[in-house]
Amino acid sequence: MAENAILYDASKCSACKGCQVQCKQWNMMPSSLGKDENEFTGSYQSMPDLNGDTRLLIEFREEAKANGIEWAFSRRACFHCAEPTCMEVCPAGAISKLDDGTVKLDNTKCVGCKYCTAACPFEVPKYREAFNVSNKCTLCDDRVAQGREPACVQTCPAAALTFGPREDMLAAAKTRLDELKAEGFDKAELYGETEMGGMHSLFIAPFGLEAHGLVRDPKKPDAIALFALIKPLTGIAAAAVFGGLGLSFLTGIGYSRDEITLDSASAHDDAKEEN
Amino acid sequence: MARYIQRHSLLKRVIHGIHTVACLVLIASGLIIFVPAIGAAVGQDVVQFVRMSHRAFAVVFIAAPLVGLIVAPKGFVHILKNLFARWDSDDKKFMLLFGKYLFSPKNTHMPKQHEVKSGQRLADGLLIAASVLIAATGVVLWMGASVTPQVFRLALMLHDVAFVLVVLIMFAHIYLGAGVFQPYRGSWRLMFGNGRVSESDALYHWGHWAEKELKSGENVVEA
Ligand code: SF4
Ligand code: SF4
Repeated sequence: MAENAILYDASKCSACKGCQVQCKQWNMMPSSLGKDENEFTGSYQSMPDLNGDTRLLIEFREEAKANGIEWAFSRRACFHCAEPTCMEVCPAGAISKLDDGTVKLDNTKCVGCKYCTAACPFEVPKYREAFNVSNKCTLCDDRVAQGREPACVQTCPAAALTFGPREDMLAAAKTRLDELKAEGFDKAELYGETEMGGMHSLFIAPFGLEAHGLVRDPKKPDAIALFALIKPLTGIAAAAVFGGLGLSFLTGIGYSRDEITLDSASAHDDAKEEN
Repeated sequence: MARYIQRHSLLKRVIHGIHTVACLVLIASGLIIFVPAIGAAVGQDVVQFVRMSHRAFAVVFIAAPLVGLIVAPKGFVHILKNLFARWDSDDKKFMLLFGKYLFSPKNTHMPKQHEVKSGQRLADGLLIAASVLIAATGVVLWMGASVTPQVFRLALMLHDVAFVLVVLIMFAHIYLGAGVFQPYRGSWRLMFGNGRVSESDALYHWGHWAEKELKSGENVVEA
């Protein structure tokens, strides 16, 4: 199966949050409805970060310009990495990679240990307390399997989101990047082509990666890399210790010693001293 | 009539026994989480059950020594004193010979030792340090969502490092302590039996200590 990808073009995004709402609707994730239930973000952004009930968040980042503020909108969600570190650490086998590159978190298998959040360089999976599972974008694999687009893509009124074969998305992104550069967005960059082995959620960042809050050269966190190293080393060390002790046991077969008492031992010590 | 020295009290043996069970259950349940392939193979319900039982036994693991500290503070201090006792020449010689002893016990004469052998002092110290680390990081992991992912991943990594140490030291501890190693045969009785060591074994293993005990007679039992 060909690999698919979402392409998000922040230069076209109007930050209407339609995708954010549609994601919740399709995936039946509730919103906080009470007054002041969401922490005030100081901007139009709905909440400070993704949370257990929110898989997609439109961020309102601000870029200071000579003539005021420019918005640098961002679509924060799982990037569906080709080398997903979240999958590596999941102890329940709840995270898998589908043929089209989607990294799926199956919440019927998840045990809510939050290892994936710790392992993801972007801290994308969030704990959903009411269900004791972690939650993240599944690229609407259920819809895609039926030949439909992910819900967020379908709803985007500004055509800032598109979905299709990854190769086509990459080609479209590169053409758009050239256009942006020609229009004077000299910092414009494409995110996701090679990062984390190649992502299945691509991002056109007209103001440069940092302005859109994207991590440049994301890597598996050091602690997690070490964690991955410890496991095989443990196996080797355990086998070595086990083997060493086994050998020790074999060399000790037939061992015996005479019974001694305090008196016989001291007599023996005295005799040794005299010699 | 044979003479024995009462080496370990009932309280110490009970706490050690509870701690052993907790530790072994924690290692087994930890292994299921440590190796994702096992977790994936046994399925979500088992993994979830194992995670919860891991917490229950972790409470026992942390509480058992603390109970010992509260009930018998003097004994606790005694253990610590032994742990940090100064190394004399016999202690150093013991460590130098230990490798040879493990693989050639029939031809190795080990120097006399004090109440806790120098090698065991090292292993105990490391085991205690690893246990404190595993307990502290375990508490952080339990707190889960209330700590940042950065803290969580550090705790996870340190929990694993401590896990490895505990497992490796436990291998050696069981090999020697349970008396699988021939010169230590019968030593399982010290912690899982009546806590007594025969005069002959005491003189062989802990010469300096046994001489002192046998001369003072305070803990000597005739049977
Ligand atoms: S962005 Fe994070 S959660 Fe998504 S696939 Fe990559 S590592 Fe996993
Ligand atoms: S929280 Fe769920 S998906 Fe994440 S690592 Fe744990 S079991 Fe796997």
